[in-house]
Formats: sequence, C-alpha cells, structure tokens
Amino acid sequence: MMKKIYIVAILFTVVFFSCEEETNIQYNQYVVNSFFSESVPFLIQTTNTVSVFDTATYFSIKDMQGELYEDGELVGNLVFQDSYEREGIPSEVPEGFTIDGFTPQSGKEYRFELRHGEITITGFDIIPDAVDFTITDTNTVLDDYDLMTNGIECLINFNDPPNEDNYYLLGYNVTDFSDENDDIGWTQAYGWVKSDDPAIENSYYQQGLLYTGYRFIFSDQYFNGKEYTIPVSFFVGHNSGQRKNLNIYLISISEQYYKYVTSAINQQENNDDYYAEPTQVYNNISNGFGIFAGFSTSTYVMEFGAR
Amino acid sequence: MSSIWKGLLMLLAISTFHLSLNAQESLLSKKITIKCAQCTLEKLMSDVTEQTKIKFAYSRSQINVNQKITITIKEKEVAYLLNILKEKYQISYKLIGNTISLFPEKSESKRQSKINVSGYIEDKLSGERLIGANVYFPENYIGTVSNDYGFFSLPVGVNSTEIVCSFVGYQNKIIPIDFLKDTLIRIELNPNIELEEVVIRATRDEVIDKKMPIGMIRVPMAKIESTPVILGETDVLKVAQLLPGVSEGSEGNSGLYIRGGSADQNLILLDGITVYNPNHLFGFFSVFNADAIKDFKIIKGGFPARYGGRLSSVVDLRMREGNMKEFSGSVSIGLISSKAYLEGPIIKDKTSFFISARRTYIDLIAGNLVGNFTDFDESNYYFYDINAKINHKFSDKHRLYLSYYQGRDNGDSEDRNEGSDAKLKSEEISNLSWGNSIYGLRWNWLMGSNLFLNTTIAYSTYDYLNEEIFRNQYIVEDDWTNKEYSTEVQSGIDIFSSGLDFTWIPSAKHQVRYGVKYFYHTFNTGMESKKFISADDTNEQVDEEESIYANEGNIFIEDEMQLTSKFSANLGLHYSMFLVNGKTYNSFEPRLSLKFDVTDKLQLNAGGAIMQQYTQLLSFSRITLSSDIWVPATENIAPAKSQQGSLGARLSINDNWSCSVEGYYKKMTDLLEYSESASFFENDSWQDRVEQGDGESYGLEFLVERSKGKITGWLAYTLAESTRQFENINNGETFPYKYDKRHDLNIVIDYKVTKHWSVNAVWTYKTGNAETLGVIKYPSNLGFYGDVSTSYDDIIYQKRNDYRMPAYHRLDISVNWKKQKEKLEHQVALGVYNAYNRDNPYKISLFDGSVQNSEGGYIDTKVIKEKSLFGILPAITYTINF
Repeated sequence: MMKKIYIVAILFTVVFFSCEEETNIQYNQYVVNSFFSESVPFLIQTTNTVSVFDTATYFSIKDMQGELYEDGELVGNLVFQDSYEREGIPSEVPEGFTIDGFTPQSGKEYRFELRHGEITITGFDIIPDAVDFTITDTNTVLDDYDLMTNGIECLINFNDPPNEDNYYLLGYNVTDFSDENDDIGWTQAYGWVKSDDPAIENSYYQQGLLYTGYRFIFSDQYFNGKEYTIPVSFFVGHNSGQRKNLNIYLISISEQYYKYVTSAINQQENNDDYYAEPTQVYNNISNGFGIFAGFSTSTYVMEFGAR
Repeated sequence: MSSIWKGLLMLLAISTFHLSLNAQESLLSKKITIKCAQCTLEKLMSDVTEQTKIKFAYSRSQINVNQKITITIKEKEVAYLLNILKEKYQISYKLIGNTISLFPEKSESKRQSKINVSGYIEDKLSGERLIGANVYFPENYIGTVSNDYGFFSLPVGVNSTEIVCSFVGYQNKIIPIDFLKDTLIRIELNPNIELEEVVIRATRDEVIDKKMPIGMIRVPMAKIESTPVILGETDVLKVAQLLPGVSEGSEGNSGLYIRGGSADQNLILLDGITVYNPNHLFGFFSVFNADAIKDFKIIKGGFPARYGGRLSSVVDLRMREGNMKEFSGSVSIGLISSKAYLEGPIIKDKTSFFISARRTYIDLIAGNLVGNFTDFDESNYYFYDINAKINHKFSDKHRLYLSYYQGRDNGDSEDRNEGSDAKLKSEEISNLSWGNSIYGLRWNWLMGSNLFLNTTIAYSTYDYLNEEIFRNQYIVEDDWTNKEYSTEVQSGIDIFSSGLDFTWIPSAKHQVRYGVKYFYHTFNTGMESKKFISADDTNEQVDEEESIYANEGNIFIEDEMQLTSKFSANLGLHYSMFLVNGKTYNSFEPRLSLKFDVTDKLQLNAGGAIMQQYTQLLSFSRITLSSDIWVPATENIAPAKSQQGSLGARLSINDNWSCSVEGYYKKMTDLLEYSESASFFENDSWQDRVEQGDGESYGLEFLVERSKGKITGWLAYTLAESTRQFENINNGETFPYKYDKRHDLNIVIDYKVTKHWSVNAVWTYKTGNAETLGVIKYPSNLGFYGDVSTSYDDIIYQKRNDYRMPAYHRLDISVNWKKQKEKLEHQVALGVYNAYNRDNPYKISLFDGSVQNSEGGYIDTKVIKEKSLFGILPAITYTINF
C-alpha cells in the first residue's frame, strides 16, 4: 500500500509542477493614438507598449498599411509622414499616419484600419458638433501683487444639444504680446482656473496633471439639452501693462474621448494609493491600445491691455 | 348415581385440570439466572433446560435458533424470560405439558416492533454534550450522529440489544439495551487517556469522515490545538486555511476565501449567531479563542437548507458549555498575549458556566518601543476577547444556554510638538477601535421522543470608531489661544435575530429539519462628524449616511433520507425574503446533497445549492480595513446570488489512510465592488461608488489523510481558478479574483515522539496573489494641435489583477511538551514561524525611481518595491491546565 501511495505522490508532484503558470506579459503590443477634428491636421500615431522599466523613448511604427473610412466609405490610404512645423503654431505636428489634404468633418464617423504583418488594428469614433458659446465679463481684475485675483471672472454661456449625452473640455491659454502692435504673441498656459459651478466642481480638473494645460472636463449630466451658464475665473498672468489675449476653448468631445481622459486622470491620481481603487485607462483600439476619438472646438478670444 | 358419578368425575377433572395448571404455573415460575451477551437462541434454550429441565419445542423453519440474543436476568421466573422473548424478539410461546413450544409472534405484536431510542451524548468527565458523535445500532444496520446539541434519536426494532457510540478523541462505548418502549438515554463517553507505555495513538482524529455530507469538513479541536501558528496563537481559522478549497488572503490574514468566494461570503456562526468581523489586528488573528471552542466545521458546498444568507460557505463554531461535574481551567502565557479559562458547575449536573479571556500586551510591554518605529510619541495597540456561557438543565427535556462574546481592538497614538520659542504647542491624538459583541439565548426542548426544538434569540453587533483630535495652542499678546479640530468616523451593523429550529425523526430513514428565522438589520454605513472649536467659535458639521433598516425572514425544510442501504440524500428548500426601503426581494433556494456508498471503503457524493446574500462587505481591493462597511441590498443594489455544484469521492485506503477528491463549479452574480477610482476619502454615498458584476470559480480539491498512528496529518491540494467581471471595471473584461490561487498545497504533520513530546510541522505553498500593478506603459495622447500643449505622459496599462506576485511558501514547526503532575497538566510549546525565513512579498508596488545610465547620469524609471511581513518568528507558550 505504501508503494502505491509513493507512486501517487510522485504523479501528483509531476502534475502539480507541470501545471505551474508563469505570468506572460506581452510588452510589444500596438498603440494607436489619434484625436481628430476639423481644426487640426488628421494624424494617427503608432507606437508600441514597453515595459515600465524601459527608459528609452517611444519609436513610431512606420511600416504599416491601412485605410481611413468616413461613414463607412473609403477616404483613402493612410501614409506615414514625418513631423513638421506649422506657421504660427509653436508645437510641431508629430510624425504619424495621415492622408494628404484630408480634413475630417464634424458629425461624421471615422474608422481606421492599420495592418502590420497579420495583425489588423482598428478603431472608430465620431466628431461631435462644435457648441458655440458667449462670454460675459463680470469682474476683470488685474492686480500685480495678488496672484489669486490677477485674472478674469466671466460667465460662459452655451446651449447643450438636446436628446444626446454631450461631453466638454473647457480650457484656456493666454497670449502675451511683447509689443502693442505685434500680431504674433507668445502663447502659454497658466496655472489657475476656478469655478464653483456644480457641473464643473464635480468634474475632472486637470490642474497639474499630465501637463496638458488647464482644463475642466465635464458631461452635461446637470444640464442635458438646456442653455447653461458657467461662472469661471481664469488666472491670466502678471500684469506688466502689455497687451494680452485670453483664449477660451469650449471643446465638444466624444464619449470615448471623455472616458479616455477621465480614466487617465484617475489612474494618475490613484496609482499608488492603497485607499483607492485602481483604474484601467479606457481603450477603444481593437488588437491594441490607445485612443481614436473626435472633438470639435469653439474658441472665444478676449483682449486685454492697450492696443 | 349417575349424577353422583358425574359430579365426582367433574370434580376429578377439575382437580386434575387445576393440578395440571398448578404444575404448569410452577414450571413457569421456576427461577433462572441467565447472562447471555450475543449468544444464540439455541444456547439460551439450552441454558434454561439445564437449569429447569424444561424442554423446548419449535420448528426451525419458523424460529431462527441462531439469532443473537442479549439478556441478563438474575433469579427471575422463566415466564419473565419468555415475555422478553415475546416483546423484543417476537417469539411467542405455549406451554404444553412440560414442554414450551415456541412460534413466531403474529401481526399485532409486529405493529409495536419499533421504539424510539433518543438521548444525549456527553463527555463523562465534564458532562459537556458532544456534537457529531456517532450512534449505531448494529442489529438494525442503522446509525446517526448527534446534532449541535448532542441530541440523537432513532426508531429501532425492539430486538436491538446494543448501541455502539463513538466520537473523535473518545473511547468507543457499547451499551447493552433491552428497551421495550420509547426511551431517552444519556450516553457518557470517556475521553481517550494515553497510557505511559502506549506509543501508537489509539485515537482517530479524522478530517475525512464519510458520514459528513459533501463539502463539509469537521476539524477536531485536538488538531487545531496542535497545529503550529504565528506567534504561538492557536487559531481556528488559520487551521481551516490548511484545508482544501480554503485559502488565506494574504500572509497572516485569518480571513477565509473559500472556493473563490470573498471573505464576506462566509456565514460565520458562533453558537448559531452571525459574527460579522472574524478578525483582530487587520486579520492577523481571528476573534475565536481556541480555548472557548469545542466544535468547528466548515461547509463549502451542498449546503443544508437550514443555512442561508451567504454565497460561499458556512463556518459553524460552537462554544464550550462548561463542566457540569467539577471545576477546571487553564492559564496560558505567550509572547504577545495571555489567556485563561475557567469552567465548572454552579449546581452540579444541573447548571454550569464557562468563561475565557484573552488579551494581547504589546501595549504594556512595548508601547514606547512601537512609538519609536512610528511618527508618534506614543502608539499603543491591543485586543481582547471574552467568551462566556451558562447552561442550565431543567430536566432531560429542557435545557437553556446563554452565550456571550465580546472582542475589541483598540489602537491609540499621541504626538506632541512644541515650537522652539515655546509659543506654539500642538497635539495630535488618534483613537481607533472596532469589535463584535454577541448575546444569545437558546432553549432546547425535547418535545417527544423523536421531535427536538431549538429556539434562539440573539443580538450581534459590529462597530468601528475612529477619532482624531488636533489641538493647537499659541501665544498672541501673552495670552494662550486654543484651537481644536476633531473628526469622528463611525460605521457598523446591528442584527437582532430569532428562530425556531425543529428536528423530527419520523423513521430510521428520515431526519427532517424545519424552521423559521427572522432578522432585523440596522446598517450604519458611515457617519463623519467634524468639529472645530476656537476661542470664540464652535462649528460642528456632521456628514451622516442615513442608517438603513431591513427585515429578513426565512423558512426552511430539509430531509436527510436513507433511500437505500447504500444511497442517502439531503433534500431541502430554503426560502428567504428581504424587505428594505420599500423594496422586497425573494429567493427560493433548492438544496441537494447525495451520497452513494459504492463499497464499504468508497463513497461517491454530489451536491448542489442556490444561495442568495443580502448583505455584503464593501472593501477596497488593495487593502482590508476594519472600516470596511457591511451594506445591504437596497432599492438600487441587488442581492448577490450563486449557483454551485460539486461532485466528489471519499476512499478509505486502510485503517490509517483515507483520501478524498472533490470538484466544484460556482457562478456568482451581482457581486459588489467599489467603482474604479473610488477612494476611501470620498464623501459620496457608498451606493454611488459601487459596481455590481459576476464571478465564476471552479476547481479540484484533493485531501490525503493519515488519521491513526504515531505520525498523523494530511496533505491538501487545490487546483482552482476564480474570476470576476464587472461592466464598468477593467473595461468590462474578465479579470482574476485577487485571491485566485491556481495552486494551493498544505502539508500538515503531527509526530508523537513520546507520550510527552510531539513535533508538528506545516508546509504551505500557494500561487501568488493577483495584484493590479501595471508593468506595461504606452504614450498618451492628451494634447491636441491648436492648443499649446501636446506633450506626452505615459499611460500605465493597469489591467485589474494583471500581475502575479511570487509564489508563497513557508514552513512552520512547533515542538510541544506536555506532562501531568498530580492535578496539573503542564504544556510548553516552542514554535518557529517561517522556519527558513522566506521573504514572501505582502505588498508589491511600482514607484517612481531612477537608474544610472552609461554616462553616469540618471534616468527616471519605475522601480518595483516588495514588502515582506514576517521573516522567521520564534514563539513560546506555557500553559497550565487544572
């Protein structure tokens, strides 16, 4: 009997260790990033995932073939293009796949297909219509000695499109003109924006996160289909008497854009926090990671200082 | 003449008849002495003939002269013997001359051939009633086990001559019986006493028990007491974690994760009363002081209908009742705690008490030392338990139990600072406290020979309290100004319950249990009070989630059936109803458990159950806190449900070895988890921060046990998988459950070296826990052209529980010495936890760090940090029993 038990024990041991599972982490997976709009050149960036311990920069995957579809109709083949600068825009357009001369239209759905070897990576989204807004300046204060009041308080008014869920980014930057007659100034983001409005207060406030400027991202859950007014205070920088432009953007973003940005913010906030649940960043790329999402921008420019 | 002759003849005839009757009567009134234990009827008749010269006549075709008879009579008449034969063995008689003719008794007497033998099984030394003891009637080939109150009942034939009674840790007992009517008996079993010369243990401490339903395991307390544990603290739940299908969460955690279920899916009962938080010290110790526990069983599947309200298991613990005969007790001194118990009769054989207490004393002996390792000037922590029980026997039919438990964890810290110019003083005080209290009153009533009733009224509560006080004092114009800011956070749950639980044994083939239970729940899901006091103002703000009140009721019926000599089943139905905030939930839950004895040694079994759980523990996935709240199903939150099936086999290899294998599949729905990004520090209602989703688990469990001999122990192995899927967590993709362990192996060895010395060892190996770490990154795209910022940050691909921690393994060894000196028994236990000092990671995290490049500069990167909890830990415990 003991002999049988030993045999069973040996078999058991063999089975036990043969079943041991190693975690298989696939580092080189495809990443596709694209935010597309009427107002910016269409671009799809393609890279790959790497280990978090990898200190090298990301490299674009250039040897892919693919197409872009608009409302199901073929627009054209996607072609890789190196980065380039645009006149009047301080940041360069990064390298990536694009279609020469093509500009997407709001209200339409776009779908891409990119192939690399036997793998096909796809994604789709719409460009929501832009939402116009007006600004009412309530109490402009320019005070050199108090940073907290050196800004502008204003009311942003817009009509939320009815019968649909809408998502918004509210952002701003400031253009400083060194000379009163300059046409091109130096545009930069500042670090303070504030609102006590419930739609904003409970939204995702990107201050200091992700270095993408200072924006509120919010949904229309408090004002779905209604006219809505948001009081906001913007910090516009030190007052040295020169001319400034406050550029305010109300950006209509798709639901996928909203999910991606909010989940990314949540992940950064809670990553090392044992007292918070971890967040999986939203992903709408099949056979890969990243985001393919549309947006439309409405802009309002307020001028300060002498001209 | 003829008249005279007729008269004389009549007189003669009458006289002759009378003489004849007298002769027969004198024959039956002859005195005999018979001592016949399992002798044949033929032998019995031979003995009678030898003593009385009476002859017997019978037909072998009608009377089985080889049937076994047990009768002891002393100086009784022959008629007495014949009447016993008639009543008990259905053998009638007729006296013809000097011969007694035997023939089978007819139908009228057959109708009375069954009697109910019921009773209680008790420890002979203490009078404590024994749960799960075996009672067997060999002539009838039927048996049963005593219930949670030591009671049994069986209808048996009047020809039964003996009862065989056995129980783990006790000597078997054979009791001759000659009952002619329904009888209530008390069976007293002697505990095993090991003789000086005895080397091989005679006890059989089985974990595998073929009489147990599928999925049920009863762990003998002797096993629990001898198993080495952390810091010498004997722990019932930690031993349970060594069983197949039962897992600890992370190192040192006494939570039970059974068959892929979470810790809150276990119905933990102490004397039938729900315990909501079974943990001390964030789970490193259980609240169950082993001194106070007399019986412990786990049901993992095939749940009997009497249990309900949880998805994954029932953990049923029974407290000791107290010694009815004499006073006894124990004092035990360990490294971090001491404990003691005392039990004895208040009225001998009528009323007894049991009381035990345990307290840690880290705060007393090392409070300041702890402060040195923290940011606080002083930091203290301790926990304590008190178990108490009184039981009173009104009569053999009525008994009352009063149970009490209180356990509490208390931690406090103080930090004082003073400015260098003595113009500013600050003080920070923190108090943290949580614990359970349980009160239970049970009344046992033996309503008839085959009907038993247990009535329970109970109250159980768990509460958590955290108080923080910040005081500032500063001098303004030579006057001290005081400011105080305090916060208080409370949560908890209260349950009042009552119930009736009937056990009815209508025949030897059926044991029916039915009953009704009612619960009144009060959920305090969170109250935060903030107070600011300054010299001229007091401002108090209270953020309180409204308490939720709920009524829950259930009724159940189950029948434990012996369908054939080989096939038995437990078929039941549990119906429950939950009323909360105007919403009513119902649940019909069929239960089934089957056993088939293929041979004497091999048993196949199967079980299935549908369960519904109305209360869930809301915990963060990365940390278990005492502040985790019990929340109910509400109008917005559906109760959790499960369907489970299992199939298994048990095999007795020989007298020493046995093994079992069991496979299971469990599907769970409407499980509750915090939403992604939900934080402990948010003030939103819990209902706005949760998600509901599904779970699935399946596995195979193996158990090989050696239960007799110098070396005993078991090997338990579980191969399992457990996953979760929530629509709004992990992008809706299925992810491994945090405590999903593909492999879980435990080897437990108990080696009795001599009567005084024993060595115990436990080796455990488990697949590492699944953690959400995120070891893949990719570039984000959060900027857009036209804006000024298009710089990139990394997105961490943080799939839920995507990273496996390294496998966990550990060896614990203890050496125990025990010696009886007069009335005192001394025990010393020397133990080593994690004997080969394995660094088992407790937490694993990614942090921002940097590495040096080839040019001597530094590049930002991520680094993994593993934190281990316990290295090699020695322990010593001295116990004195009296």
